[in-house]
Amino acid sequence: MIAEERLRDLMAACREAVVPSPGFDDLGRRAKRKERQRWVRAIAAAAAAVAVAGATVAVVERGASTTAASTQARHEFIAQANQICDRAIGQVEARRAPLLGPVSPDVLARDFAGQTSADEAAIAALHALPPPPSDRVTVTTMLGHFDAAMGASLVVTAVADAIGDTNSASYTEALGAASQQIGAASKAALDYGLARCAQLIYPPHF
Amino acid sequence: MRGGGWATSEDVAGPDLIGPVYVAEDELDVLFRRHSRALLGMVWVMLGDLGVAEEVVQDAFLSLQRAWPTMRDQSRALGYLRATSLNLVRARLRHRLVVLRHPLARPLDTASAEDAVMLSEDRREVWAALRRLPERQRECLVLRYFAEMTEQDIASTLRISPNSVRTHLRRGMAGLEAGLEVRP
Repeated sequence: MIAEERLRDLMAACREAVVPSPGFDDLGRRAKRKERQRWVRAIAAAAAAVAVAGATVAVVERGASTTAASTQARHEFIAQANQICDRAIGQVEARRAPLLGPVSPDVLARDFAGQTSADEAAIAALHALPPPPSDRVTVTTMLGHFDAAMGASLVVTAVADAIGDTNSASYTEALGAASQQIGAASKAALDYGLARCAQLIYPPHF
Repeated sequence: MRGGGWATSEDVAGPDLIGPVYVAEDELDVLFRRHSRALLGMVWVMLGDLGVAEEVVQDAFLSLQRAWPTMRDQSRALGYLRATSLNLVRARLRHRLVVLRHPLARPLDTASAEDAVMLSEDRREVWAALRRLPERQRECLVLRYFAEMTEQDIASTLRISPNSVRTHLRRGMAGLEAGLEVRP
């Protein structure tokens, strides 16, 4: 049997076989059902819109509360960090060599060593202080400046120990580099609100 | 026919589809009585699910009821019904594709026409081959061989040219033969 004949046969069989269900002619019921479906869809759409609006409000509120929490964490961090730096500065002030009269390299070196141990302890304490989550990068960068300043300061001490002459070009060069690093750390601390920490790592005085 | 805005009289009869003696609901009622079963068969052949086919035909008549007051040429009501039914069939088939792509969303209706009826193995093969044809070819074949429409009427229903209808019929039949050869 060729395809066309087989198709005709199938179609004839289908025509014979199709028998509507008893409620097929009840178009009113179908119309009501469709109306209900439309309502359900409309209500679902409205509910979805409300849900989206609610979620948006929640996100905004959460954002606001996150901002508030972030601000509080920053204030706490600044207070604690300034307290650490305040203690370190007090220690350095207590050990400081007399400012009057000529300062020998030995005195200067001792002065540096005293400062260094207090500054190192303060910087280590700052590293140990958990930063506010939202400011982690800023704080890490700032502490990086302090680490670099500390290293440069140690170089000055090492140069002073090695050559014993604060008038030498090497000493001046090391001192200049340290001053730059200390300045950068100081600025970063000030920018973040750590006024006391900005005074950490004193530049060598004469 | 029962319910809604449709005529509830059980004795609306007579061969005249369109005539001044009928109010619109009566005319629609007559249309339903005379053509709903044929339309149902046509949709059923395309969808393979009698329950869904009934919904499609009912929706087509409801659509006609809404469009009736603004119809310029009400003698074309049957063409409107066929075209609307075909559009609804396409929508259902597209929906079925979506369901198949997202199997967890909702189980597909599995009650098939083959199960509901009779079909011999030979007829099942033809039906399966028909279903594998491209949409337009399948529509042309069903309108031609189930609804026994002329090429001109098919063209009018599908809003394509008679030449296109002939092409679809020829390619559809070739595809059917090929399908039957592949899966004898």
